[in-house]
Amino acid sequence: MFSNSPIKQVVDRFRQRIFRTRPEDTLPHVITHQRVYIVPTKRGFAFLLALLLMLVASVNYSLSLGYGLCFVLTGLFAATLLHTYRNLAGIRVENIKQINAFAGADAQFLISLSSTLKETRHGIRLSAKEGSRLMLPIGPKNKTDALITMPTHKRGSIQLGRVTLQSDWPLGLWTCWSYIHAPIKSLVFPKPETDPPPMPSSTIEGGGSRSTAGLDGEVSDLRQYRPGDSIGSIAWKSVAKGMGMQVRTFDSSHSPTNAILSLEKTGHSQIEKQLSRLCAWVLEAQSSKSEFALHLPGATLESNRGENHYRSALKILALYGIAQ
Amino acid sequence: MSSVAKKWHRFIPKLSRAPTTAAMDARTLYALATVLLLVQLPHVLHLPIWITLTGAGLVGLRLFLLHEPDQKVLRFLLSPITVTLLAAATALLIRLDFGYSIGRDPSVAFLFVLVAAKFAEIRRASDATLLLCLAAFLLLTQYFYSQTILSALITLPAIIALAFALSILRDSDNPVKNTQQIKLVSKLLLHGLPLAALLFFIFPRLPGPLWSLPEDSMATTGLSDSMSPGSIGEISKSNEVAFRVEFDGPAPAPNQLYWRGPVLSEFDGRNWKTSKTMMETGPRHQGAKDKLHNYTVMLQPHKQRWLFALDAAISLPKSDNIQTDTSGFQTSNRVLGRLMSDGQLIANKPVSQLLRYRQSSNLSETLHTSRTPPHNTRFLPGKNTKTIEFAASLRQNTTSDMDYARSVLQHFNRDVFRYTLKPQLLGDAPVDEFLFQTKEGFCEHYAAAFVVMMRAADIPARVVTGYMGGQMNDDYMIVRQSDAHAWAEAHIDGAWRRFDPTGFVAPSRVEQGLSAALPNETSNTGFARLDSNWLRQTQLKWDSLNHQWQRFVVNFDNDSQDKIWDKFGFGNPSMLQLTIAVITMSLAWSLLILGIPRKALQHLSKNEKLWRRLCHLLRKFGFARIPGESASEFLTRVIVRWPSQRDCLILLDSEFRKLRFQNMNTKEAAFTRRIIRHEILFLEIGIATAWLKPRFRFRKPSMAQARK
Repeated sequence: MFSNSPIKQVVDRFRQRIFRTRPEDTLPHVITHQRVYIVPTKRGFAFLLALLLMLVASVNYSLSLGYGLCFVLTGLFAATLLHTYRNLAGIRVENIKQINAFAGADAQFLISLSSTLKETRHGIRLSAKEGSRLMLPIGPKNKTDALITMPTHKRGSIQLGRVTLQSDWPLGLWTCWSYIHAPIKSLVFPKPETDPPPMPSSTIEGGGSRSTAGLDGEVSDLRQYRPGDSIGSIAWKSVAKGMGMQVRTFDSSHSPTNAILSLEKTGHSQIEKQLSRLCAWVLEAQSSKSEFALHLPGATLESNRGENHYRSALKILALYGIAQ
Repeated sequence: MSSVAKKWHRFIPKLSRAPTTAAMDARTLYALATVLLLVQLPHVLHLPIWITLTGAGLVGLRLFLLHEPDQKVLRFLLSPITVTLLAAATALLIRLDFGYSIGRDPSVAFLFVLVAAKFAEIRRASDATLLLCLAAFLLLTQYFYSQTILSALITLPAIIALAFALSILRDSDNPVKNTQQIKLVSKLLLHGLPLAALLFFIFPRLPGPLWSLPEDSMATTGLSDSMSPGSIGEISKSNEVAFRVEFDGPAPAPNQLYWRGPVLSEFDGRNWKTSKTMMETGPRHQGAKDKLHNYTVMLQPHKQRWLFALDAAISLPKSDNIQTDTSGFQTSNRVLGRLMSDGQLIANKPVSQLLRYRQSSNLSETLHTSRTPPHNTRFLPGKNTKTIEFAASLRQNTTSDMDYARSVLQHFNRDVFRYTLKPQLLGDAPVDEFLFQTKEGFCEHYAAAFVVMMRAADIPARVVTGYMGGQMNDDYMIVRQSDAHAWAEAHIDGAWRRFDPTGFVAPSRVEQGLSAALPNETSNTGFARLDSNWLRQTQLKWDSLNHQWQRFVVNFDNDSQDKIWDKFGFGNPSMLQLTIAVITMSLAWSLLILGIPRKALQHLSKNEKLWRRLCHLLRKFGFARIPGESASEFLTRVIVRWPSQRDCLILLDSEFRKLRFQNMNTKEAAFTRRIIRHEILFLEIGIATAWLKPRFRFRKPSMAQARK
């Protein structure tokens, strides 16, 4: 595929320049005039055709006011071009934050945009890949965040890919767009098994008697999700019931248990099912604030607890066996 | 989706719009209905009433359906099939009503109904697009009928509504208020106006039609090619403007203002007609200089071929490029018509739009011609036997033809003839009845009677129709339909001589105009003849405004364009020059609207500019400067990742450091900058041509490396 013939290279450079096929943009990124494309929409072409017919009629019947009307509408058409362009050009993509997800849920990318234009920018749409688009009604002078969600199907990582910023404001006669392709990807963790068997407890326990603690985690309360909350504390069941993103809060009185998690202990033979169960256990351990160790072939995590430990465990599970 | 569309959307992103739940929501429908009603409004004046009602009715029904969506009958009535059938039926009815279908008027009528029908069955956004395009065209067609200031003004709200509908159609869920939206589209229109004006002035005007449809029968008031008793009187009741005249010098006296129109030689006993065969002549000699008048006529379209000129025209009607040579004779370039042997001016084509032409006349009552009078000027059919007897007896009592003509005129004066717009109707022998029974009539009665009397005495004679008089308004003269007049010409002593019998019956008609001659009968003919001075003044002001409008806007053509070029000191610009002018001005216009691009670099120091140039270059390769990183750190980082350019980058680093931290005099600094500039240029050229030489040391660092 990679042939070094100069023609291929030129074609490749051209494709990159025009279509942004490779993720080479760095953030923050300002949409400059070289990166804005603008063509008439279907309606724009229809409008042009009507203008042409009107011009022909004016010529044929020497209608001075006909010329006038025709040119006023032409002026409108041209002014719309400039305004459509101005609406998009100069937008600054400040940064893109990915929000990791479990397989089957939606991966999310938070794109924050800002503009230095005095006027409000209207009707800008962001889209990435299929089906994952979102309409931004207003992009005012300050920062605006847009959330792009992408359905995930299997664990690993998911690329945001090329994002298209597009607008046909104000009259829908021109469509104007720009691509931005930054190397942003989100991790997709294995789908946690529902109702997993109890976590294998460690043999070298610290002598506590509350060995059953943290089985389900004594949920003391549920509250609305706030950005920054740990993903592990999200009450996925209530999400599944359609009650929205809620977060479990826990009694901290439970004492931790030590567990060594490995593929063999899951009792499954299929790798995905093993990872799925491990994932459920990791979630469980995190929610009960217990220590655990993760022993996978090629990746070992010593017994520990806390947010970072939990994240690296999930990352290992997400990327296990997947070539980078 | 077809594969073509798929391919297309690889390059142009598919417009992703929120799926609309309703086929057409209320906001869109109301926006479209506003456009339609505003576009239909000016057409009400000329369309048959049933078409207007059908069009407005369909719009109304659709809006009614919007509020009563469960009306089964209405739903059926506005279903696509019913509406299509209705449109077809209307087409048929239009064919019956107008008598023909391929023509301008029936087409406009059909378009009128079609637009409303499209609105009635509108379902999708693409329907709305088509509707708006049709509406825009319908908006244009109103200019077929009227190009006055009012019709221009009435277009403005329609244009705004059209743009507004487009913006609503783009996204009807847009929470922006309607007033805001209208403000926005008005701004867009304003921004487009300079370009529109530029195009209006520069776009070349092609003379003549590209195609022509069957002549449309337009009911225009004005002279026709035939005359029967009462026809001129009918015309006189109209207060419309026939033409306007600008004299180069002072205007002639009112009794000299005989505007010659169709000359009627054919007589069938009752009606007068123009000759079927006409002879052309060349321009005549100009006579005495004090009788010579040069003037410009702006003729309202009358769908006929004749032009009007003061008797007697000595030049051909020419386009309005004033080039007067030393002798005061017109030598303009484009000839618009021919001069006929009977003194008529005939245009090259029917006057279907405002026509402006230059004309020269030598005021005289006689028309010298070397030709013998044609046979039809002697021909006298009909039953006017008493007149013939009377003519014979009168001729015997006179010595010469001239003497005879004078005595006929005096007969009108002596006897109790009455000048009136409302004479009794005449039968089969109109001249007999007029001369011996009713003894009342308008100018055509007198002219016809005089010509019959002449022909009865075997003197060639003919009726001339046209206009007599005119009203001065500021620096131009208005000639109205109410100034329509008919007089007679007789061929005596080798020349055609003008005789105006009306002048002997009602001298005030010739001296002061119709309203002075018939104050009672004409008082109901419109504003112009109103006694109220204030109203009269207002009306004249309005006419003056219209005159300027017609002159500078409606009649804007190639000649006007040339004049503008002349004014700015460019002789005829070539197509290339025009194109360059348009492009430059469009660019200036774009910059004006987009705002002059911020010259961010301009107020930076020279050093800073160079540094930014380098940063831009490196950023292209993925080396972005991390915020907080010093210039040196940044370059060192780049050097590590891009060893092939090590020497160059190290040099740049040290030179930049010198510039920044050493106290150098201007000369040294300039030298350092030159080194830097040279190095950057080297890098730039290397990068720009890197693809030519794959093995060149400018190998692009891999992306992963660059970003670490």
